[in-house]
Amino acid sequence: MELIANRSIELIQQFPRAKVLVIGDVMLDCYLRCRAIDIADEAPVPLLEIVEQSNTLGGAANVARNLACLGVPTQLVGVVGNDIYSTEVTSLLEESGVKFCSLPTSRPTTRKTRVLAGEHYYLRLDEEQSLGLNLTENNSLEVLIKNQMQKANLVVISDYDKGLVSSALAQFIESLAHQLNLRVLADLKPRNALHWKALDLITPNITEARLLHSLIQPCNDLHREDATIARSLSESLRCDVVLKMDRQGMLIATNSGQISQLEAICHSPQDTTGAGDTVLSTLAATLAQGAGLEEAAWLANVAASISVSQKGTYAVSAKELVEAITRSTEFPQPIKLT
Amino acid sequence: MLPSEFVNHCKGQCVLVTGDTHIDREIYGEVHRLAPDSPVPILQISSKRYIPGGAANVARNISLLGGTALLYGFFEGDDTSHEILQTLQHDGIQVMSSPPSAPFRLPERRRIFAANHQLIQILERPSIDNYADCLPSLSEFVANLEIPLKTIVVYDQGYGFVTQNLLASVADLAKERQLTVIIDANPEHLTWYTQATLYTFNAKEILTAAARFGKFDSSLEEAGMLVRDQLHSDIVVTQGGEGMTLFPSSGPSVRIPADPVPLADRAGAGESVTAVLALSLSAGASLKEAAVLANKAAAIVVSKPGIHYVRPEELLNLFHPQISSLLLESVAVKQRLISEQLPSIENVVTAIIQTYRNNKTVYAFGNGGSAADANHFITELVGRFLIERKGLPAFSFSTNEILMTSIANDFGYENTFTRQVDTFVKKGDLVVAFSTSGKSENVLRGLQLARKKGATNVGFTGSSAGSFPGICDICIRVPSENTPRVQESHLAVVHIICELLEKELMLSLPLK
Repeated sequence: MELIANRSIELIQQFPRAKVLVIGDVMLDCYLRCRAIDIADEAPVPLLEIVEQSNTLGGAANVARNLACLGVPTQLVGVVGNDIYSTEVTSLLEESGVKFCSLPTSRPTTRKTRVLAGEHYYLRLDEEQSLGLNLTENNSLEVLIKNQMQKANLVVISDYDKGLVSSALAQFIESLAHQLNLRVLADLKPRNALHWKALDLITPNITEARLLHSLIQPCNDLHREDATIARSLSESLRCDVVLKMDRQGMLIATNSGQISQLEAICHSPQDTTGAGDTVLSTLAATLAQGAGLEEAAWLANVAASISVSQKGTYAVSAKELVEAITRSTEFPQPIKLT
Repeated sequence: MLPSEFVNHCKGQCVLVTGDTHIDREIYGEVHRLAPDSPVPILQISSKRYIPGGAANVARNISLLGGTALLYGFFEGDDTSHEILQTLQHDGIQVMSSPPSAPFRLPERRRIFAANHQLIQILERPSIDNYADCLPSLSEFVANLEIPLKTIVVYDQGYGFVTQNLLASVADLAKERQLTVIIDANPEHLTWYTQATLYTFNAKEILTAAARFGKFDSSLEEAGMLVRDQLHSDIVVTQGGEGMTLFPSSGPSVRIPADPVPLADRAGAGESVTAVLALSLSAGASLKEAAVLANKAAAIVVSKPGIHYVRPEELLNLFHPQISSLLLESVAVKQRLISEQLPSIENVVTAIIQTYRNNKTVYAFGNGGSAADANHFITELVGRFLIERKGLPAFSFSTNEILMTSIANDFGYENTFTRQVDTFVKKGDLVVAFSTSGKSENVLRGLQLARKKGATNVGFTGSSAGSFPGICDICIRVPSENTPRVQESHLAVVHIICELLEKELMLSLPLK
């Protein structure tokens, strides 16, 4: 145990050495905290008054923020609109220490607004335009990505199916990654996973994994065990899989056919929002140091436990990670499954 | 004063509007799924639009009703406020605004719709107080006016623009210039209100106001009376679908029930009511007259979806419904004429041109109103229509009453036209017959004989057409059974034919 802890702290200290490039759907998460003041005059609906507004980074921007918070020099490439929200995204990224290469487009900045009245979550308003980019935009994007990939040690794709990562762009990134000998980690919406041929690691949650599995092998038994799904995905996509299973922890299926399980650390999470991004970014930060997948997953599991114990979308810092590892000696170890 | 006179009197009335302006923003979208983190709907936004609400909306209503609106407010904080400023100026509203000293946003009221179903309203009230104090004073603004100001409207939503200072300068100005002051009141500011001609509240506000004066659980009537006595002014209470109640400063209350209209959307009705009250009081209407008009205006607004501005003609329509509906009926017939009869009209023009190119003559006839149409047509041809030219050979068989009565007397009325056709019409001539029913015996006989003699027959008739289609080479069938509507359309078609004919003949063939 001590050995793992020491090795992990060593890895964390090396985080500032690697350069990670995040490519994906940049989003802004807005929170409107309101109080219900009345019934509207002209229709029988509640009238809420905004008490407080706050914005946090979402999608690929949150992955980048998590990486930066871990101390990893992080570059983000994505698109934003020509609106006030893009200014907000840019300044939040700057505060987080992420370098942002944005491609301005004619579509609005992708935004999710959560309307909350007191503790009661009322409604989510999504504003996006998820059609693909036009030819000119796509060409400029490829130029941006090529420049940045040449400077990176590892690439993370965060694809929320908002039209940025097309099949053509996936192939472009893969062939460039092959030339530059870069590893590519991806968190993808299932239907977009098939754009890729040579990913190194995917990190689906259990719902996404089942959906992806059914896309790859239609007419399959829906009641397969999670481990079987993880192994099957790993075999058919020829990549490593970290399957996020919420309170059940995670399953790690390697390309070489091994499978192991990591139990969750925090059993009564406060808020799981954004924990997936924490897992992905910790995996990326650790793997960029040349660590093994099991080591990386172990650290990601610790990071996830910190993230879910906090309210809202939380980015874990390198310092918190070190403190947590130093403090506890009882973090679960990967258990090999057969 | 008659309502129609009022509407005309609105033109030129000058009203100054001040108070809270907010943005009314409508957000439309579709709900296809629930959020993964909680079972709440996700609204995928498909479109948004906004209009200025509150004081700016009152000013727009005034301006679009033909009044002169001045707006004393604040519209230059961010992009949206600036856009609103431009919209208002475009509408001809003179706006007093000035660049803010601190970042400024207008309050915003968002209505959120899934498909057409309203889900929720969200109010955003920026925390800025006393921003009216940054503006040049009201009296300065009014000092340079060229038109006489009669009324001031204060729109108080409690968003922060209306302050005791502002109300004091309104009161001073009103006293100095003997102005009518209308306050769209906020029950939380009752202690600030010292002097006004009229206060307006909605039903909920008047009950709150009564509670502020210490009377809880009162009826609307009791509340209105109490507030009236406390404020020493006229009170109008708007009651949504139930119309309004007036509480004149002395005397009993007056109920004005709402006109029964299908409700589409109540948004913007309050502002229209205030605008109409202001304009009609400026034009000299009594409180009751003004309220009746405002109530009508509200009925128009709520029957239209979204935010609607009342136009003067809409108000007039409500007071002269028969006249406007008859005119609309006439318009509707002509509209159908466009969709059904254009080729026939074109064919008549071509046939007449051919007749004149062959040096032949055009004859026309009909009975009564149709006789008049026949004569009118012939007159345009022999005389002139729009272009200076020589006369075109044409003759009406309905003109000569001596001949008509003589033939009728000697040979029977059914032969009044046959005798003339037999005498004048030759092969290659063109005969135009008018009969709204297509059944007039003398007209039908005339057409039969004309066909026998080798003339081209053109018929003007109504939708039933009688025997016209069988006996006419070209038939203009006005799609209506109503004789006056048919005749109005006949005349319109005659004019169109003359215009096209004249142009074509002048262009192609120099007439002798």
